[in-house]
Amino acid sequence: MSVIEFTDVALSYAKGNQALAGVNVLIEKGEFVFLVGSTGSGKSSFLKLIYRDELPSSGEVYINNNDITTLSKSKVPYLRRNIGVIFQDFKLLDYKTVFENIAYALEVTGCPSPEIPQKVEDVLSIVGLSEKKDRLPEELSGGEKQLTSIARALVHNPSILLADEPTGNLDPDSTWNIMRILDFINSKGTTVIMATHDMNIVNKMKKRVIVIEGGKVASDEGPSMEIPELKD
Amino acid sequence: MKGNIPFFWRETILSLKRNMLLNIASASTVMVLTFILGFFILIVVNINNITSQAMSTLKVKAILSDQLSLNKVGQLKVRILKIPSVESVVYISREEGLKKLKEKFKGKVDLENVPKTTLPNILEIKVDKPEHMFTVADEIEKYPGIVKANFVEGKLIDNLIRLSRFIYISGIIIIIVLLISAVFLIGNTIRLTVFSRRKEIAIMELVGASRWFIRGPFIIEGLLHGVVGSGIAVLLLNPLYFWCAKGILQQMSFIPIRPPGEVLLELNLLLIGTGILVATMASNIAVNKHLKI
Repeated sequence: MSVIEFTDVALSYAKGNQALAGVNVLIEKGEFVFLVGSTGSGKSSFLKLIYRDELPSSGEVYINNNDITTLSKSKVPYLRRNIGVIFQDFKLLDYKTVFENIAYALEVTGCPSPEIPQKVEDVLSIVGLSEKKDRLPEELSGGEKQLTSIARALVHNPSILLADEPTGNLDPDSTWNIMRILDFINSKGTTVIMATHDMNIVNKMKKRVIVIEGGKVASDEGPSMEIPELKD
Repeated sequence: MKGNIPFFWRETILSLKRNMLLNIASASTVMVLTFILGFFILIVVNINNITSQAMSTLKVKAILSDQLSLNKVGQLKVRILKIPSVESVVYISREEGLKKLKEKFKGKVDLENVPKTTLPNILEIKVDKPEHMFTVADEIEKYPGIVKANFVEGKLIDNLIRLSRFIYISGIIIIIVLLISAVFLIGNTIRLTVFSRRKEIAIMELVGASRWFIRGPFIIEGLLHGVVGSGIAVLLLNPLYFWCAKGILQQMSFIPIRPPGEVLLELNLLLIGTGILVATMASNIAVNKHLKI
């Protein structure tokens, strides 16, 4: 069963830059997919189309068999509660603790207050940050910040997790810790799509790899493929 | 939504603490604008009051022919009363007129030796609207027995009518301009607070918060700016008007200024209402500009 389907998708920005063109991709439930490509190739645009941060100029994007390009603005929040997103820059609130940053995602979506602590504790234990729940982001390492961001993305129990260069700012140890967590989340049934530059990760993880170059799918290969170094 | 109110308040209080200076700037903008608005409304209300009072005391005076019998005067009164815009007609004989004049200038001008034939017999006609004085005067002047019909300072009435219309129209224009500029000014200040919290907004959008949830704390913030700003403006304007009204009533009692008790309650409610409305509207516009969903 496909979770994400792009049908002849094109995306142009206001200034006329063509970010994506003629993209046809099908991603099944529970897959782990790497999106690779040089800077500006269209990886982030691909992810933005999935959580409806951008609308395609043409073509359709289906999430769980629903065309989200026709989704009304008022329904976008409900789509996003089913899609977790993490970024290279973590996007955490500096004045909130780890616990509060995660709880915030529940509070702003109207989750009843009594249910929040347990849900936050559950995701903290998945990412292994229970001990540091009262710390502020400035007291955390880069890897721990990304784990907090992952925990926040997971707190709605999404069926899709999007990761836009999540290890871009991390040291190798933290990078592999993040990858282990993402792999674990994927093993529990969540579809994970990760945009990355890091070919070392891609080659070691042995997952499906979609290469995007110049806004087009240059190749879409299964887990066994060895991907060469990318030009930057 | 009801269960989310504590969250809105908590977020609002947190934002007020974190953006103290911007919040003070925003509430101050509301304060200055509602103060100017209130000040201007008081001026308009009082000038309108002065002109309408001045106009309401003016009457058409019909000078009667000396030969007219009292019986004929009675018939004339009935005829004049039939004119739709006429409210009352009062006969003032020359003796009565002189008596009134003497009372008016008692101790100032000696009128004791003025012969009683100096003044004519007249009819004093009160009309419903000052602008009808012209037509009533023109009409009754044609009636036999009336030598002349005029009203005191015809030009003055004309000027008062024009002044009153000018104040009314320009008042409405200035109030509209003030309100529009208030929305822009407050909107700009609130946009700064919204901008300082763009990260929260982006995160809220990302994790699936609805538009209402994102806007809620900002709208409450705008509401507080409105209450505080217009509240301070009211607290400044009230004693100022009390002081001015007291001074005018004591020193220049002939100026019919509206007593504070008559105007301030309505004005205060209007200013606080306007402050709240404008600030929440401005807040809503500002946050909408940052929302992508």
